[in-house]
Amino acid sequence: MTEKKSASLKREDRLRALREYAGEDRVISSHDIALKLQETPESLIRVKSEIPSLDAAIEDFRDGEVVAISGPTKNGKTLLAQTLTANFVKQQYFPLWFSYEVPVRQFLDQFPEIPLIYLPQRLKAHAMDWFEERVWESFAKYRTRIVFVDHLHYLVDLARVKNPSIEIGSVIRELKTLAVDGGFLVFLLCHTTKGAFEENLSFESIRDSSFISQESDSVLMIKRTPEDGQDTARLRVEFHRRTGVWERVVNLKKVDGLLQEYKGKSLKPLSVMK
Amino acid sequence: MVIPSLLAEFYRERIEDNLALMEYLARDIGEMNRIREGAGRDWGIEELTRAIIFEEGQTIELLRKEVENDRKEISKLKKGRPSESPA
Repeated sequence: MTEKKSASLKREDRLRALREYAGEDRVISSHDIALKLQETPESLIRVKSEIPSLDAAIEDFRDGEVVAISGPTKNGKTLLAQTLTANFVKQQYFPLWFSYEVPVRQFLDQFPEIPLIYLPQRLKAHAMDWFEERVWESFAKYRTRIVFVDHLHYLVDLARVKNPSIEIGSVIRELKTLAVDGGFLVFLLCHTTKGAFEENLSFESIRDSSFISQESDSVLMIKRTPEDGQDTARLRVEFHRRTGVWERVVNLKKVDGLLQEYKGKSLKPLSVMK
Repeated sequence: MVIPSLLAEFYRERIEDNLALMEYLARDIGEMNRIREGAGRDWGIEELTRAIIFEEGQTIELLRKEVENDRKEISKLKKGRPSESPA
């Protein structure tokens, strides 16, 4: 009985203290939140891909989003990311790049003109803390809000983990938290599973983890289309959480070193990218 | 007649200055972006910061090209083929 009374008193004290709680994370009403949101801009950055059909599908890329870019090897993932980079720079948004896969010299040479972007002088693979620190460093020095990671598997040490899927899921969640907390827009390049080349390509073909598509705000799949001509590819917006767009196809062609939209010769069923 | 070692020294100094200036301008672009973000829908500030960023971006590119040229000149000097005067 005494114990019960003591527990009840403790709870009363706790509730009394909580009634006065005024921390940053205190619980407030939806109306208060709505008023607070009115004081802050809807988004810190809104940037276009300058690929018209893609822009129509996603209504600009915005901060707080994680966008996965996937597709088979040598099918234009990096080129698409570089095209986006060049187009963002035109709009005066200067991205931070983690080019793990392509050596920096080759990476810069692939641009028709070197754009103003930022890169760590040295890269450290499989080091999420180091990665976050560089993202914040670049933000502090140059106010960069757009981050490209080429590619995801350099952030996760698959050799050391028992369950790659869960580990990748945890990294994606960390990236999402980073994007939301810091107001960053993160582009994450990731491979597809082996053999996906021959099969129908979709976000389900992304290698190692379904968490990638689950936690991303959008998944863009790219695949070359030699049947439509040299240097052509098909980009598919698998989904976009904010706009609700699903399976939108954009035909792309490499012109002067970067990708541009073009009207494709043949429009195959949108759900099939063989 | 300019002594090659002095010329090389000149180029090295200019490279150093240009690299420092490039870093300064890159950070200033960051600062302009911070101001732009904070300005909300103030189009005046938006336009002004955009113009400054554009100018500074162009200057960075020019400075990079000058650094590249100066490095080439130093390399020529090392091989004993000095230019007449600094570019």
